[in-house]
Amino acid sequence: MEETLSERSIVVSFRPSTGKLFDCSFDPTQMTVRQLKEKLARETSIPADSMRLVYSGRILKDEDMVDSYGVKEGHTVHVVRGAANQAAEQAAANSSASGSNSNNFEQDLMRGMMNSPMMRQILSNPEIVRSMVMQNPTMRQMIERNPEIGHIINDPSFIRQTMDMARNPELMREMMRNNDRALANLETIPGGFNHLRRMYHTLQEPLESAGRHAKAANQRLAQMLNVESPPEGRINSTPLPNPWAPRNQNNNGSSPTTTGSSLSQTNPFGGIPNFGFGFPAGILNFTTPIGDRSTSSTNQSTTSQTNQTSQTNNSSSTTTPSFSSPSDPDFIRRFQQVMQRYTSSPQYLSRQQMHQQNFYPTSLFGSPNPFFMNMQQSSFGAPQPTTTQPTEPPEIRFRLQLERLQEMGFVDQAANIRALLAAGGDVNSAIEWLLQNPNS
Amino acid sequence: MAKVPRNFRLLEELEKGEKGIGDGTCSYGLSSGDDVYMSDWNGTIIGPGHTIHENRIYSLKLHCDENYPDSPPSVYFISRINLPCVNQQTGKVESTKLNCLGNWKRNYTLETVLTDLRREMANPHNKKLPQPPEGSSF
Repeated sequence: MEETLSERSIVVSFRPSTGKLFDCSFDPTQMTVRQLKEKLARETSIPADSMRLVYSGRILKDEDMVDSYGVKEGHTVHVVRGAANQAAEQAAANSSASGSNSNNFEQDLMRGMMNSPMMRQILSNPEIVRSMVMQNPTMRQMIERNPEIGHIINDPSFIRQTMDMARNPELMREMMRNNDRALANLETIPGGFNHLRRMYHTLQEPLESAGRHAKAANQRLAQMLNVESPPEGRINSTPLPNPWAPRNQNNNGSSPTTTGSSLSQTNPFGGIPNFGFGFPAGILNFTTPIGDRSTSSTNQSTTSQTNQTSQTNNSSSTTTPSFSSPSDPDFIRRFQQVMQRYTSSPQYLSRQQMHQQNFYPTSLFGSPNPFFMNMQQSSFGAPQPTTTQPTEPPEIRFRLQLERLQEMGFVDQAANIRALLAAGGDVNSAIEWLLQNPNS
Repeated sequence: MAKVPRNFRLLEELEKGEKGIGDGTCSYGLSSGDDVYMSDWNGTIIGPGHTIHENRIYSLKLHCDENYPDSPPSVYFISRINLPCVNQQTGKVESTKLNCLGNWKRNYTLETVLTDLRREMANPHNKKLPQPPEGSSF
């Protein structure tokens, strides 16, 4: 572990309904709300059972991790004394509500698994993750043949990022969206399509061919995991199989293969090979679209590239109609990451393209910033208000800046000009000036 | 006069909500971090002391449409509550029956609405009103 606990700790203010505000430092990624309450119970007179925490208009639920609420350094959490049993009742009601939605359920499951202390410990060590991936023979072969992919897997920060993503569904969705846009943008750039094609050759093809060889192994794995292949063309709504379940509970009645049971006995983390094997399982889903594409004209293949990406997006939220579905979301997550890495690799992008890309990384891994997104949105899509062609010198001089201010919602042209004059043409200072002088 | 645009206003309110600036009886924040238009908000009101609402936390949903803050947000109670200004079927706060919504001013904020509702709970006419069991919702 490179980061120590104290480095990830944040200081949060707590505001009891009676008594004084106090600060408390903890690591939100390592703590459930319940644990936080127990910690706070020692500092206040409120027992953890009757303590309720409110942050940002929400009542924090005991079983959630604190960071799932987005609590950040310097923020304030309200501490309220309530009756003991109601919090539990509410939590039960909420969890049953979320369970009815299979999509949520799957995400919750993933998050729950990722949040479990054991998994955290394992995954926080990039070495272990890497060796897990490398244990899979097909993966290893592929990496040996393609050093580019090997680099990605050897990069501890990449692995950590992947795990963080899997933990946070919101971040996940954000990433997927950004990835789509990044691909679309790449295509609009002259020469961008060639990069996509090269990317396909160096990255996707090896992945794909690795997948083809693994079909038999894949079927064995499916059997081992108690998965039966649902009919094609139907949405697989059955819950994920429990890889830890005893073999004799095999639900489709087929006897377990010897390799399967011996593996589960020798490996205390029965489900973990899933990560390694998950790659080829997911790839099999891609083979059809990829095959189509290679025979079609270049122009079509561009669109199918994007289509395919949006397809992967869909399949991560709904269950894909294929027996590989249990490992699918995981695979897709990684694959998207790989693609993301690849598209933003400076080696393959000209300076101009880099400029375009710069938009994304900032919002990718930080928390989604509503303001930034808003600005981006307005500069991309929103119909721009037509400004009357100015004749006065400052209006011409600041035409671009004025347009930007208008887009941001500062509609008073005269005030905008005053602000820009006062700020010497700098838009940011002008905004500050406008906000400080609302009656100007 | 330069009006503070919607986004800036809501960002300011978001920061206030997260940092808990205010009297500490109400809390509010975006329902989802990726809501780029900052339209849907969660709010909580901590029941005022010495009333039937004491030690209760009421959850609300607030929606700021594109005209906010020129027009008031729409406000719904999620937790069941018996108050004259709250529609007992839907949980919607009737804008005609709550002063700050009916006479909305541009400088009013989400916090104004929540504290006004809290004042309504503590109102001598309302503070003894029988309330549905805690934890029930509309």
